Amino acid sequence: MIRATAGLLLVSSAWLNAEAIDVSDPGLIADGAKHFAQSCAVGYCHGSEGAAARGPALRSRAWDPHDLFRITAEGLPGTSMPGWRGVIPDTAIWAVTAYVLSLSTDPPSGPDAMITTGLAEEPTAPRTLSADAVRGRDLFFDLTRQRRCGVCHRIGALGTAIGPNLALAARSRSAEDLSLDILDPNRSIAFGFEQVELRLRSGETVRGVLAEETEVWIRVHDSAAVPPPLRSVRKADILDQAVVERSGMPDDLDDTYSPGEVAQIVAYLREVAGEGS
Amino acid sequence: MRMALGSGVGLRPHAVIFSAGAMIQKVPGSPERPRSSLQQSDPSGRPLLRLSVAMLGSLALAAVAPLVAAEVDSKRLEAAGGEPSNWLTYYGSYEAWRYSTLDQINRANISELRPVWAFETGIPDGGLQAAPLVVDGVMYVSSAWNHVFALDAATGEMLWRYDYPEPETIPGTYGTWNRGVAVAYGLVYMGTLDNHVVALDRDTGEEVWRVEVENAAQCGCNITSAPLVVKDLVITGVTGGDSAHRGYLNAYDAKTGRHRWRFWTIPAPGEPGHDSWEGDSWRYGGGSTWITGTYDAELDLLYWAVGNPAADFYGEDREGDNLYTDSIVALDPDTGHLRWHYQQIPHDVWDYDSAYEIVLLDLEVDGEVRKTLLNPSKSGYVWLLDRGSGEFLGAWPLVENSNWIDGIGPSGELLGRNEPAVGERTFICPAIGGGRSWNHGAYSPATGWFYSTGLEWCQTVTVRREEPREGMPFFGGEFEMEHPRSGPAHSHLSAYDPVTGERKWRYEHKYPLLASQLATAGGLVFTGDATGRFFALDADTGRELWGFRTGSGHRGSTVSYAIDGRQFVATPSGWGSALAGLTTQLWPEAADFPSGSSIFAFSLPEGSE
Ligand code: HEC
Repeated sequence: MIRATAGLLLVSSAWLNAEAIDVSDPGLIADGAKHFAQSCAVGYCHGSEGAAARGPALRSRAWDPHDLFRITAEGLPGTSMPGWRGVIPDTAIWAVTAYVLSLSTDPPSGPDAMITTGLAEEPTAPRTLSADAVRGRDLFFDLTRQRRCGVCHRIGALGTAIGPNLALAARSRSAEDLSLDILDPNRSIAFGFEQVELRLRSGETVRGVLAEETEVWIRVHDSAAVPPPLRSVRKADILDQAVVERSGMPDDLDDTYSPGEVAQIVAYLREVAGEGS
Repeated sequence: MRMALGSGVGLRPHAVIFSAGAMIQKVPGSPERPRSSLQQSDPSGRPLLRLSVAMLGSLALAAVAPLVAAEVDSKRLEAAGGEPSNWLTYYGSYEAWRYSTLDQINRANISELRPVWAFETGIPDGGLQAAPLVVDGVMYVSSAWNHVFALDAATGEMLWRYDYPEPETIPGTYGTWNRGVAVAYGLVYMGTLDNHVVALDRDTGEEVWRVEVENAAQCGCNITSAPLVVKDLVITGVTGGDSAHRGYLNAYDAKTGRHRWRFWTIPAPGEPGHDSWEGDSWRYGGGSTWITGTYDAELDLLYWAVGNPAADFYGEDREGDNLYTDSIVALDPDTGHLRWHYQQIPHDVWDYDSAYEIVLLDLEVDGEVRKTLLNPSKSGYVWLLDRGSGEFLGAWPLVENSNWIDGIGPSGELLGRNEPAVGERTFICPAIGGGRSWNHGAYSPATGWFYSTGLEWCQTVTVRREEPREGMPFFGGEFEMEHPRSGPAHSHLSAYDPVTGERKWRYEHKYPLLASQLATAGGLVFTGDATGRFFALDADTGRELWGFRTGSGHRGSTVSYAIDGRQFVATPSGWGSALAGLTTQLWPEAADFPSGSSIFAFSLPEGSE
């Protein structure tokens, strides 16, 4: 599934929050055409005006409006057709649906074009973060920094969960504590994220947060590198193993982020935690 | 504190779940095969790269294949061209010739060529686009969705399979297919559809390490190309050139997966070349590295071809040359530092990646033998550079239907750029699918010619300004496929003088030829077509000598190898992919071309060799 941060979404079609819509409405179709051009026609997917590319042709076919909406929203599992719910608003998915219907062999018109959408409620208001927190979020996920927080922490749909869930961790922690945790990770080690050290018969020592243990294997997030590779070690190849009281998080992230930037990241974590749920 | 694992530190809910038992099926070992006499010609173990074309005639023909093979390491990889029994690396050797010195199957006996086995992966999504590797009797092939199969290369019997767990996030823009694996140090390496690299135990298929290159949910990018092993590193490119994404190349320690270096294809503020980007456009400027590069051990240079800038068609928010998009970069393989670059298309607004193969050739240019590299581009031109310095040595066209420029000047400058106007419909040739697809050409030292397809098709481009959304598609326009003004779209496979581009022969085809070529010392060029026909041409004349229907179209890379003195030619069969889809805009009947995903291996009947 393709996902994008909510803050980046264009919330259009705001006027469309009605329970029933007219899929033959030229304004709605035009709005759908815009979304289609940007997200569906693109490059190698469904082609300009649904003419087909890697994805199948969408024009000149017969569609049930609700099926079309559902496939667009949820995607087709096991194929590269992603679900668009959460990526663009449901209202925009209806606009795209109206557009594709307009290209079909028998575009709905008159009373047939009145479709019950089930979108009676106002879409939930987009999360509002303070300016500092928005900046903090961008820093947390800043792809130009190879040691960004998102390499090891996941928040929402983005990032990778090697380290703990920070939206939870930040809930019970002051800003001071959080910045200390970031700059001096060895100060305390989150429960369940202890590192193990494996001395192997090959002479190598592998240290990392435990990811999984089976009868045969131990898998750890090797903390010798960022990003930490997930190493699979056969138990039979281990000479010796121990839990080490060092954090799997690098202790020199002040090379990556300035103090001001850490403060903005902390602001972001606290606001995400405050949102709760 | 010491403690036993499994008590205090348990499995956490978010941990990646593996079920080794379900993922890996070990099939009991295959019985001993009878040995027959060795008749294939095995040249000396020296890398072919170091031999000039003229010297090749004097190659000593030894006839011994190693009985107990050493592990694949950098030495064996550097000399891969001298091991025709194997297909050790993606292009067959670092020279990227896609040439086999085996000549048991040749012009005289090709009519006897028969299928020996077929293997069905069962995963047809996107066709089968890989180049299988063959290492000491075992074939390793990857399918869409990152399944890897180890097969007995003589019988097609499956030895093990690996099934990458279906990821939560799949960047939809770049497909779920995979173009091949790398083998070295007892491991099999593969890039994944959610932008990881995995290393598997070569003998069992069990996962040894896995590393995330960049979060796929965020970057919208992934890996479809085969990794390249150079010395102790596994190096992988990335897709993402049509998304709001900044491209890179990454190197990992081959044994541990620990990251060693990253080369950003777009320089950051303060770095040389950064001023070739306007404002913040560098952050989302594309520059993917989506096809496998190559390596010259003697010069110790790693070469990679960099893709188009993003937004593909709309260039007004990225004024400047946009380095290092549409460029060849030569890197220090140990550090990833740039040694030189050559940009083919400054400020591309046509989506004409330089991503394709880089073929290392020692060629006589203006009376002097030069170490060159040859690189066909999506633009339908082939560039020839000095591979030590990046000096421009020439460029020549693969296609007739080309109106994006009038030509290329004596120092490599693009003449008469035909840039599509914003908001208008502009007719451009070749189409976005390229004057050639990514599938690779072949070079034969016997003829001295480069064999490549050319695609004669066009498009109407409508350019539109677009705001970048990180990780989301960023084309800046739309296109619709068109037939050329000169007649119906079609394709051809031709033999070219690699220096002048002079065409020696030409084989016409109704549909786009989208599979790689294999050239052999048997005087043959193998490839396959969209309708499922696999065929061989005479390398000297282009005459068709043999063909076989594999049942589904061809998009992958044919290889050759030998086992117990018997030469095999193996081809992936399986229609699919982005371009396969696009063809339906011009050839509606192509919508009914069946997809598939199998390997067919061919050999001469036993006893007849
Ligand atoms: C290379 C991986 C890695 C990177 C990069 C990383 N972390 Fe961590 N982080 C971890 C691991 C593993 C832990 C758990 C061990 C510990 O508590 O020190 C952790 C723990 C934490 C904790 C303590 C959580 C708790 O529940 O006690 C905080 C806060 C934190 N990280 C914030 C950050 C921030 C902010 C960044 C970016 C500036 C960052 N981390 C970058 C791996 C990483």
